This record gives sequence, C-alpha cells and structure tokens, in this order.
Amino acid sequence: MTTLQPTGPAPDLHPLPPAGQPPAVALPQASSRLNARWRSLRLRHVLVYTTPVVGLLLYLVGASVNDYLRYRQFDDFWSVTAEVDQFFVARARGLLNGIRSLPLDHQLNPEAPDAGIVRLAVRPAVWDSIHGDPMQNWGKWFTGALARENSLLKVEMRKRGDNSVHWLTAKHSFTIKTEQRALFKNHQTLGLSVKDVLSAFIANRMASEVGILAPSTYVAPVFLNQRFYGVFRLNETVDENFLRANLRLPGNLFRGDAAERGDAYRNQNRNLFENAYIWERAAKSQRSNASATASLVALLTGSNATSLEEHLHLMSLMDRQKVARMIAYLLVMGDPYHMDGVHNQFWYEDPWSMILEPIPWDVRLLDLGRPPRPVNPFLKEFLRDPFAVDEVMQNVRSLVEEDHILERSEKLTRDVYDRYRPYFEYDRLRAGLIPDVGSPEAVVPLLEGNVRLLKEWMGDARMGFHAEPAPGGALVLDFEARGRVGAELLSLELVGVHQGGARLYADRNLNGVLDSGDSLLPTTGQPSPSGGRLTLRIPEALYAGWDTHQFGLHPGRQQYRFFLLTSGATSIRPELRNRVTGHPVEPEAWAAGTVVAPATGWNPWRFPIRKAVVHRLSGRVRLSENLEIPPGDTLLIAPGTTIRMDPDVSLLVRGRMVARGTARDSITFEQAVPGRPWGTVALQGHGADSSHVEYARFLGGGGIILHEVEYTGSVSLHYVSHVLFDHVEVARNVRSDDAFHAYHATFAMRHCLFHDTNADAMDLDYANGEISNCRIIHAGNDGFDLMTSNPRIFNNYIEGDDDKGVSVGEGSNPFIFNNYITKCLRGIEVKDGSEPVILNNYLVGNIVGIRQRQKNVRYAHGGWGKVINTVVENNRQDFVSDDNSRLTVLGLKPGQRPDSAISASTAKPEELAWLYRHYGVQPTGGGLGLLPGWASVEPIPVLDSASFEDDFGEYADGWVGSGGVERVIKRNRNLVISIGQGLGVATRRVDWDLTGDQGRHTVVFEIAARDLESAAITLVSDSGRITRPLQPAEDLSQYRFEAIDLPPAHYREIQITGTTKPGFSHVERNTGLVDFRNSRIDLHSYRLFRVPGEAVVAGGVEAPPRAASTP
Amino acid sequence: MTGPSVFPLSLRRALRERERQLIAVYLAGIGLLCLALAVGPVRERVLYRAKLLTAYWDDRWTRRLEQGEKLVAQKRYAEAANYLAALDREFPARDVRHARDKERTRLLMALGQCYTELKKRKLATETYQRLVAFDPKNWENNYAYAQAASKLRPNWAMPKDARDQYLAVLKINPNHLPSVGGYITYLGEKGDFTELNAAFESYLDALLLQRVTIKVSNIGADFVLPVDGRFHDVEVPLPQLGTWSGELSLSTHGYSIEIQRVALGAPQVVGRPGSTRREVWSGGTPWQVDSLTPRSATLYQSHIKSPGGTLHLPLESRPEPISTVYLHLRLIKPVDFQTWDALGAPMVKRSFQNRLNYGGLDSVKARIIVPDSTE
Repeated sequence: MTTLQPTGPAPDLHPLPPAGQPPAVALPQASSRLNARWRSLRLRHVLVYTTPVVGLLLYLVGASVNDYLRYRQFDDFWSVTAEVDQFFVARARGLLNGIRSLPLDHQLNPEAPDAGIVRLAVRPAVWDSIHGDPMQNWGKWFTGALARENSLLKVEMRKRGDNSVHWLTAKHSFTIKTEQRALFKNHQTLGLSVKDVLSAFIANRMASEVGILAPSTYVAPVFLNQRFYGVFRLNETVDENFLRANLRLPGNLFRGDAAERGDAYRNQNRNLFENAYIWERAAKSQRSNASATASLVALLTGSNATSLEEHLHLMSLMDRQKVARMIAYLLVMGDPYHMDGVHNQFWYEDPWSMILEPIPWDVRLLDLGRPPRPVNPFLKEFLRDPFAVDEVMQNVRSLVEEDHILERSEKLTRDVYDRYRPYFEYDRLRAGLIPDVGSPEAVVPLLEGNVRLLKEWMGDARMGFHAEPAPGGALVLDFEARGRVGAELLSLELVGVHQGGARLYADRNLNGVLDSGDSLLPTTGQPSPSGGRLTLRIPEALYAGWDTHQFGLHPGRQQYRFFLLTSGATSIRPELRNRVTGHPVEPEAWAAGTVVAPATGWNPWRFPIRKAVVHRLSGRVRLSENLEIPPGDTLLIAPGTTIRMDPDVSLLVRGRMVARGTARDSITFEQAVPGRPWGTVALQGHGADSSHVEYARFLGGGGIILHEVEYTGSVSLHYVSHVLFDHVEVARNVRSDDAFHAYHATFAMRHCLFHDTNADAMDLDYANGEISNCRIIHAGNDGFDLMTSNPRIFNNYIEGDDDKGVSVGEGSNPFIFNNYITKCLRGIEVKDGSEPVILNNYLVGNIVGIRQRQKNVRYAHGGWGKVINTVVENNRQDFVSDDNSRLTVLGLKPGQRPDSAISASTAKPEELAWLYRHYGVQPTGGGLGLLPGWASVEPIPVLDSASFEDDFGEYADGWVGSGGVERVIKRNRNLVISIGQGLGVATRRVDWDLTGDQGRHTVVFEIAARDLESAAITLVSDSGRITRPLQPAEDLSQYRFEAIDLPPAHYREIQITGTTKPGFSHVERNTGLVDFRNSRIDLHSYRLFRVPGEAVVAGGVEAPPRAASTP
Repeated sequence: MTGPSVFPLSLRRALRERERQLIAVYLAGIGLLCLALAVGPVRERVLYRAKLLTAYWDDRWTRRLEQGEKLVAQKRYAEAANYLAALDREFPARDVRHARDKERTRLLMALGQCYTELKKRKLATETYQRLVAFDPKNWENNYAYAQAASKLRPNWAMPKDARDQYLAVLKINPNHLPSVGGYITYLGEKGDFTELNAAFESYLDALLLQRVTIKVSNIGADFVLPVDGRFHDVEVPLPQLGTWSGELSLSTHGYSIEIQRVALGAPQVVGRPGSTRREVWSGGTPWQVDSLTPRSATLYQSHIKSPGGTLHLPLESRPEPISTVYLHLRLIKPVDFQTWDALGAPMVKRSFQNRLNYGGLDSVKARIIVPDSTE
C-alpha cells in the first residue's frame, strides 16, 4: 500500500517576521522571482530540460570515441596520429555548420546542366555493404550506373586509395570502370579521390598543361542516388588506354607503389630504387623484344651509380630534356618529394626506343621552401649531372618567366572553384568530417610563393674565384660554382698587361696541373683601359652542382680550374654571365690555400665529348656485322653502291644518312646469302632528321631486334623527321611485319615501288607526311596500315594486296586523294575513330570497296569516312558499315543507300573549292573519280572551327537551345540538338568580321538530321541573314557537308533550326513499331575558310532581324 | 494517473528533502562538463584519457594472441590450437590493410605451426593457405607454407605445393637462399638438371643492391652496390674531408667481399697546382677483419649463420686531407653447402657436372665462394 504525498511546492521555510513589523530586508523583485522559480524547480524537470544538452555531450563524446576506434583499425600516418579530441571538434563544428549548409543544400542540383557533374546510381544495399565497413570488400567490384541525360551507362566500382584518409570519413574514394565499348568521356577507368581535391587537381593538372606525359585529372561534384556525395578529384588510371590516348604504343609501364597498404611487400627492402621485385607492370609490352625488367634493373642500378660510367648509362636510358622538364614542373608545385622511394613511381618504357619516361603521379601542392624530406635516389643521381641541373633551371625559367604558369594555374583554380562554388562551400562546411577540399585562398599563395622562390633560385649564380701565379709561369684560375645555376665565363680582364700572346687552358683532365691533357680555349684579345681583355670565342659554361643529400634541394659546389699563360698581370677579373637569366655575375673572392671541398656532382669536364665523323660507303660493300652510325655523324652512300648484308645484319643510323643514287646508278641493299634476310636499315632518333634516300633498292630485309628495340620494317624510321625517299624500291622482305615502318616520324615517299612484301607494305604509327605517286603491288597484307597517323596519300596505284589497300585505323585522319585501288580484299577500311577524307579515288574490283567498323574497343567509335567524288564500283560489295560507324558524303538524298550515295555523290569542283584548297589542291577539271589533272597550291587555313567532344568541359560549348529544343549536348563527337515539339532553334554566338577580308568565305557544316519536317542553318550578320535549308534523313549515320558562301559582313550568330514532324513518332524500320523519339540534329563540326577568288555577292541576304536573333 | 513508484518511500523522501542540493549538484556537474569540453586544454586532457582507455580495451586482441603464442612456446600444441582457433574466429583483421594485420599473420602462423606439430595435415594446409591468401605479397608466408608442406610430406618426395610456394617466394624475393635451396632440392629429386642450373643462375643474376658503409678516419659514407659476384669501380666522395690518421673500414652488412684496389684522392687547394690520387692498397697485406673469414688477401667471407663483419685497413699518416675514396671490389651472394653439394639429391655442383656443363660450373664458381661442408 502506498501513501500519496502532496505534490505542491515545498513550504517556505523562511521565518515570518513578527506581526506588525516590516520585513528586515526588502528583496529585489527579480531576485525573489528567481528564488521562487528555484524553489519550484523539481529534479525531474531539470532532468528533462537538460536532456538535450546531456544527450548532445554524450553523442559528441561517444561518436568521437567511435571515430577514434574506426581510425585505430588502420596504422598509417593519419591513423596513428589520430586523437579523440580532433573528432570531437570536427563533430561539434559539423553540427554548427550543418545549419549553415541548409541554404546551400538547395543549390546542389543533380539535374543541373553541367557536363562535369557525375551522377552515380548504386543500389543502396550494395553501397552500404561496401562502404559501411572500411575494412570490408577491398578489391571487390560492384555494379552501378552513371546517369546521363536520358540513359544509364553501366559501370563497375570499387574502393580505392592508398591510405586511410580515403576510407574513414563519410566520403570515400573509389574507382569507376566502364565497359570497354562504352567509355565515359573518353575514359574507361577513373579514380575518384577525396584527398586535397582542389590543390591536388591543380598540382596534377599542370603537368599536362606544361607538356609532360601525365594522366588527365578533373574536378567534379558527384551525386550518389540523386544526393550530393561530395566534390571529388577524378584522375585517369595509368594503363594502356592512357598510353594510347597520349600517342604511345603499349609498352612496359613499370609501377612502383610499395607503400600502398595491402599491396605492400612485407619483409623486404621497400626502397623501390633498391628492389626491383616490388615493382609491378601496369601495362605490358606485347612486342617480341619485350623484356620484363631489363630497363627497370638498369634504372635501379643507375640510380645508385658508383661511377661516372654507371651514371652515363642511367642517363642513356632516358630523355634528359623530358625528365628535366618534369623536375622543373615539380619544383613549381613545390613537391619533388612525393614521387619517392616507396610509392608514386610510374615509368613508361617505349618499345621503339627503349627510352624510359617518368609519369608524375599524386603530386601535391607544397611550399617549396619547406622541404619535407630528401628527394628519391633516382632524382639524386639525375641531379648529380651538371647538364641535367642546368636543363632543369632552363625549364624553370621557361615555366615561370612572365608568370605564365602562375596565371594559368590561378585561372584554372578560380575557374573550377567558381564553377562548382556551392559544392565546394558545402564540402568545406563538412571539413573535419570529410577531408578538406581546399580553396583558392589556400592554393594560389602557395604557387605564388614557389614561383617567387624559383625566381630567386634563377638569380643565384654565385661563383667563387681566385687567381694565383704558379711555378712555371702560368696563372692558376680557380672557379667554384656555388649557386643554384651556373655561369658562363665570357672574358678575362687582365690588369696591367697587354693581352697579346695570352693563352687560356682548361684543366679538362682535372689533375690540377697544366699538361697535354688540357685544352686550349679559343680566345681573342682586345686592349682595355686597364690593360687587356681576353674574350673567349665560345663562352665556357661553368655549370652548377646541387646538393641533394639533405632535406630538399640546395646549392652545391662544382669546381673548375683554368691556366692562363701570360706575364705581368697584376690582377685578373673574370666577366661572368648567369646561364639562366643572362645577368652579369660578380665573382666572390675565394681565399688562396683553401682546401677544395668535394664537388656535389659529376664534373662536366669528365663527360666524354665526341667529334662528328663522316662515314662513306661506295662500290661493293659487304656488311658482315651491324654498322651503327652515332648521332652527329653522317653516312654518305655513293651512287651505284651495292651493300650486301649478311643474315640478320643491320644498318642502324642515328646520325644523318644521305644515300642518293641516280636513275642509272642506284644504290642497292641486298642479301649476302640468298634466301636469308638481312635485318633492317633503320633511322633512329632525331639525329637522323633530314636524311635523304634517292634511287635506292631495299631487297630482302627481315626486321631485327637491336639493343632490345624491335625494328619491324626492313626499312624503319623511329622518332625521325623530314626524311625523303624518292624513287625507292622496297621488296621481298621476309619475316618482318612491314616492308617499311614509321613510328613517330614525318617523311615524304615519292615515286616509290613496293611489291611482294611479306605483310604490310607501309605501316605508319603516329606518323605523318606524304606518300605520292607510288605503286604498291601484291602486299602480303595491307598496302598502307595507319594508326593515329595523318599522312597525305595521293596519286598512288594499289593493286592486289592480300588485305586492305588502305587501312585507316585508331584515330587516323589521312587525306586519301586521287588513288586507284583495285583487286584488294578491301579497298579502304576505316576504323576506330578515324576520319579520313577520301576524295577523287577510284575503287574497283576489290572484294569490298569501302568498309567501316569498330575493331579496337579502346577507341569507342567506329570509322567515319568523308567520301567525296570517289567512284566505288564493281566491287563484290561496294560499301559495308557497322552500327558504330558514320559516313559523310556530298549530294546524299534522303533515304538513299550509302553505297549508291558514294558514287552518286558528285560535286562540282567549284562547290568543293574549300575542300580542295584546304588540302592544297587546285584541280583542272573535275567530277567523279580520278582527276585528269591538278596542281599543288598553298593550303588555306581554317579561320574558325568547332568540333565536339563529350568531356568535363562546357555542357554544349556555348550552344543554347530555345523554342522546342529539349536539350543541346555534346555526345559521340557531335553536338546533339533534340527537338521535342514544333520549331526549335539552337544558337551560338560567333564573331566573324569578314567585312575587310578579301576573297570568298565559306563556312562548312558537317551535319545530319532526322525526323524533321524541315531544318535549316542560318548565319546572322549585321547586314542580314543567310539561310540554307537542310534535308533531313531517316537516321543519323549519314552526314553531309553543307557549305555556305558568306558575303562580306560581320557575322554574329549561327542558328540551326528544325521543325518536328507532326505526331512526334517514328516508325522503326525493323520492327514496324511506333518509336516515340525526339527529332534530332547532329552537328559534327563547322569550319570557316577563306577561299581565294571572288567574294560572293550579297544578293541572297535577307533583311536584318528586328528583334532578338533567336525566336 | 500516477502508477506505483519503484523507488522505496524512504529514498523518495530523502530525494525530496535534498532535492535542492541534488539539483544544484546536477546542474553544477553539467556545467562543469560543458566547461571542460569547451576549454581546449581541459577537453584534450579528458579525451586523451578516453583515448587511453579505448586503446587499452582495443588491445585485448594482442593480449589474447600473446597468450596463445605462449602456449605454442610451451609446446602445448593441442591446447594452443583450440585457443588460437577460437581467437581466429573472432579476430578483427580480415584484410591486410587492418592495423592488426601483422598480428593476424602471427596468429595464423602460430595456428599453422600447431597443426603441423599435431600432424593435422589438412588443417595445417588450410591454415597456411589462408595465411598466404591474407597477405600474398609477404614472402615469409609462402616460405612458412613451403616449410610446413615439406615437413608434412605424405611420402618421401617433396610435394608440389611446397615447390609452388618456394617459387612464389622466389618470384617476389629471388634472393632468398633457403627458398632457392628448397626449390633446387625439389628439382634435384626430380632430376631436372637443366631447370636446376637455370634456377641457380637466376639466383646469382637476381638484382640485389646492398648498402656498403665506408669510413675514413671517422668520416663515413654509404654507397649501394649490386651483389652479383662481379667487380665494380666505386668512387665515393666523402661528405667532409677525411684525414690519413687512423684507418679505412668497410662494412658489407652481411655479404662476402673481394677487394682488388683502394686509392684515396686528395682535394685540390685553391691557387696551387696539382692534386693527388694515391693508391693505398692493391692486394698486399691482408685486411684486419671482424666476423669475416679471410679466404685470401683479397677475399673475405661472411658467414650465413652470423652475417655482418667489417674490414679495416690502417692508413699511414700523411698531411693532406682525403676527399674521395676509389675502390675496385665485388660483393658475393651467399651459398650454403647444402645447396651447393649436399649429400643425397644432386644439387648445384653435381647438376652442372651431370650435364657436362663444366664451363657453366666454372662461370658460377667465379661468382661465389664455393662453400665447404662446414657452411
């Protein structure tokens, strides 16, 4: 049984004053009220009222401890340095900022028309299972989708990142990968990183901006299932796709990332530059010369060189200029450190030169003045080379002079921040709970500081100097380079002596005494007020040496000794000039008798110097072993020379080759042992630029592997420019892939004959130039095999090739003009994003005339031929194309089949004036098929142009839709204008002032349209409008060139208009079902030319519009 | 309507009587807590205590693992196996990225050892397979598996999974001599002499860069040299100028060494012609050595079982300083007698002989110190 207690306020326990007396003290009213409240306060009320505060405190402490426990699951730097307090503060700040972020939340729109926004869709349960536990499901791919305007692109996703920063917060780093045939903005694999978004974007993006081979990187807001997930830095994965996109053939791609948790090699030496077995290959060379790790072992051995010979071997593995450029870029970013001895190492081995090229990875933006550690062993050894140091500082000068790099990086920073400002600000409010995304205020001052410091470095050409008479009459002149950059010794001011007879020697053999091993420097003498001046005809470079043994990069020491033979000089004053800035350098005194400290780099005078040699071959020559011509040398082969080459013997020319036979006395390369092929005649490297081969025959070569480089052609050009072959015959090669192979080369091949080749007659990879008036007969495979090459192929006769007459593949854009192609398996094949112009050719009697297709899935597109005035007839099939390919022809009628359209696409020469003149052709006559005559003229340039790539840039490159236009977007190399209902107009501002310009102006649109009642292109100028109607077709695989001549005027706008067919429907050809799809116009490109000739009379121009130019 | 209270009447009465005080204490407590968490240094101290507590609680896994390892050390394998198996089921590290990944490796190693000792072949194999799968880039896991597989072989021949594990070790650590020996033993048992010779030559050719320390009158410098049995020219600039007093010492950190020449370079002096490079040793008197066995005046062997060792060369006193040391030397990979010429299965030496490849035998002998039976 319980007893009910009174629940009213507690009785007042203060004693009352006696009756009739006033209270002793009158309490203030407020105080009494407070007192009354206090009296009335009950414990349970207090408990209830303070619950939110207590709950909040408990939440903050509990969540912070929990955060700490999550961090404890890892043991990297961020985890082991974590404190509960930092999580407490972050959570408290997050709570406060949550309120401030509410207004921003409304601005984060997943549907915003911005090409940079990444919209991901993942089943929530899958996402939670992957990302809920930071320790689970590593390496496991899961399926998601990338949302595009009205479609989904299937992707696979997985966690990524090499440290706990990427995984422990509410925003995780991950990788997305599309299917091979459906790339996302030209990438198959992209890493999405949460770390240092803005600063890392700038630091890494600037690599490609300054011309260094580096992966692409972007900033993008990411929405996950329609909710904002965060701003990320997207970076391209370094793999074979990356190599191809950067014009490199697949080769070994060595990856050193031993610090990555979970990928670390335990219980081993984790120094990448001492252990070859913790490197992996991100891509593998598929060439037959592919050696797994030979170059890598050489790189590691050379990085720990103990002698000059080993150092020189290291330098021979790479292009010093490229590496120096990369170091200069790293210095501007303040971070030559993060690509260190345990991670972030990527090296590409070019299979066609075996040269290694470093690829910057995960570069940070740091304060160059506060180095966090020494540079890696490779950089240490590289920077022992005085020429390399000099090259680095020359590159620094080119980067920082006039603040170009600073302006560019600052603009990039502000542009990207302004573009995604609400997203950045939202993420910045969450800083602490997620990694900070950064701000321009943090990025720009760092860059400015680094550039300022590097300018100081450029001016630091300190030089110690002392002159001392030595026994024997010579004066010893000692110099010590003490700065960041070297100096040039220009002259010596000889006080108190006439300059006549003075001689200056450099102590080249570094033995400290004047002897026969030293070299006399060419000088001239002039009188001067104080005596005489001895001027060096060639300024002597006194290179600087850097000290790399401490944290950071510091000025080192490099000493030089000269001997001056003169008499009577009382004092000597050298005139020096800074090698980088060109400013005069005042030498510092160097006390006599000072012991010279060891130099911090290799002395440049120890490096071997080679004099150029001219090698001559004439008469009958038998090569029984390889003949190699070094860079700088010249090989002269006399007319009439016959070079008989033993089996597998090659001629490798790194210098210039001049082999000019005559029509009567040609030069012949042939087999010394009949039936057994010689190797190759190869021009390798830019030392062989401007080589000239005329009236020569190359018979029976076979290709070879030489110094681990595979030469697939019996005649091979690797990295060489401006080579001329005229009246050359290449035939009967065996074993090798190609009779002639060019890789990263420019050349002209005229009046040549290729016949009976083993496989391809001419194989061009990343090569350009001219192939004209040649005959290719009975190639064992393709007549021409092009990969990412844009040569001009004209006036050739191609017959009987076992495969394609011309194979245009992997992003090639050649000009194929006036060729006769017959009896081949395929006349011309266009593949993989290639867009050749095929003009005035004759393709007859082939199995297939023209074939278009997608072959290599890495290129995401099929072929896209521009076939004009070309006869394709009497082939078993004239034209074959797959669904991924496109075709542009002239004169195509709606509904016309492409194969009939090709031959029917006749255009008069005057209609094609822009095209002929753009390619430097002046036809005499015209029409279909081969031209009866033409002359070569100066090509006309393109005044303005636009083409469209689906990228992270602008949504529609300035095009705006109105009226019935539902969207204007870049997709599949087009500007896609979708019109939903009625009249739609897409417009773009231009600024073409053609009023004062002489000649005829033509703007050419490459365009297709479907499901439209009518369509037109209108050019709006100050003087009126010019409208060209378009003829829509049924599908979008057929494009046309629409050339519009423009009268002189100032043009302001392009309008493309279309009116939909009534009913918005389309009967699908195959199924007969009604397909509710939008009407569409696809614009592939436009180009503006000025064609020589009479300007168009402005008769057809309508009156200027009165209202706005767009309806 | 108020229900019956769970608190006894006396407590409620006491609460009511002291309610003011309780409220005051409670509010003061809340206030103090807020103050403590608002004032940075105080909050840091409080939360640091929380961190220590949390860390201690989280370290229970380590304490349990150590307990299991203690049982293994005491050879109480059955008990240890049960204990470790239970721990294995609960152990938090399931991925090599986990901070306790090394402890999980220890756990699986210890568990595998228990099963091996208990002759539970299937369980041992499963455990080692999990160990290898857990961290496939730790060659020690593969080696432990290979050793266990050899030990638990079902018949006289070495099982293929042992061979596979030795090969896995050699793929990521081709300089691991015991695995070279294990693989060579397998090939010798199989009589595959071609592959055996190639395996040994691969071992000699595998890149191994070793840091060597040189000291001249207490001025030290490091350089890195390939351990390949071939001579190299080495030029070492000293970080500071050395003097001719005292000695020149070389530490190879565990590798045998052969030296043919040593020269010391003196720096130039400003304004004075000349510089000197003085040869101080070219094979005359033997070097003084620590923990190395002289095989000749130029050749010094490091012992596999007690690697280390330093060579010392006394320097005659001279006035000029020393700036550079020039050496002509080679480092030599270790080879044990078991691998070279063990009794039983034909090993390296007899494999070359069996193939009548005496040229190859001479070639590899030139790159090693041929071990004797005491090695």
